[in-house]
Amino acid sequence: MTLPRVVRTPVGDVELRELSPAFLQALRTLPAALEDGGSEQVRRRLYPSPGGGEAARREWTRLVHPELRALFDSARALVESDLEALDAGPEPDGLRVPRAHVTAWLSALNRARLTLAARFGIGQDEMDRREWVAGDPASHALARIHVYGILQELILELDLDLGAG
Amino acid sequence: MGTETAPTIEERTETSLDPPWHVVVHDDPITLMSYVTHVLQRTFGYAQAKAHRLMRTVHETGRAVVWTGAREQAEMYVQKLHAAQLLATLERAPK
Repeated sequence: MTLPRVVRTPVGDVELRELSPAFLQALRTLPAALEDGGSEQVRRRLYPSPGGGEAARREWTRLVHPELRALFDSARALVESDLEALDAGPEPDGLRVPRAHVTAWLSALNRARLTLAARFGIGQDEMDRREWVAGDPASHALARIHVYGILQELILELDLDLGAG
Repeated sequence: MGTETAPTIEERTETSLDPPWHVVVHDDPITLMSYVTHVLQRTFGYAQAKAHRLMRTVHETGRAVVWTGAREQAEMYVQKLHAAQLLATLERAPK
């Protein structure tokens, strides 16, 4: 698999260049990877409890989870708007992520990895596996988890100053 | 001539009586170590070396106390860590 080049522009935007068909496909399906499909495992992973017992969990669910949902939806909207550029012209092989959207991208890539893992029951053993089973949805999900992880790592290696969060 | 001084009143705010709380980050097999380090730096303002050290503790032992302080602040930090999809909990710090 050919890795893309990820560079920082003078104004702090991130450019994903030389995207192979595999990476382009993974990017195009990123919004779908963020869908929880009604999975309770996904919901539990993305909206965890703060600990402290059932009363604390209920209060957290009531007060915090709506804010988390709004944040996740906002990040997804930014990512989707940036991905529209992939359909703007013939055979794109690059994508620019505005500096102001980079945190949303890192969050969305991470969330896609967690969502796919929860939906397909992927844990440490599966992450360490190297064999690929053609036609197996879990194998396909694992491949996408690794591709999104590569994109996350390449962006993080740029060591952008994204400010306090 | 004597001077009268008002009696001093020692104020003890409620927060000074509150026990401190730990913010604990828990390991998960999917989230990248580099991402955990990045989130700890952004959330707490830690230097890269400290954030990396805490991440290694999470990775190698399953959990790490990443911050200790007042409950309200700890809750805010846990919320921020959840927003970055890290598994984080609040624990009362031992006396």
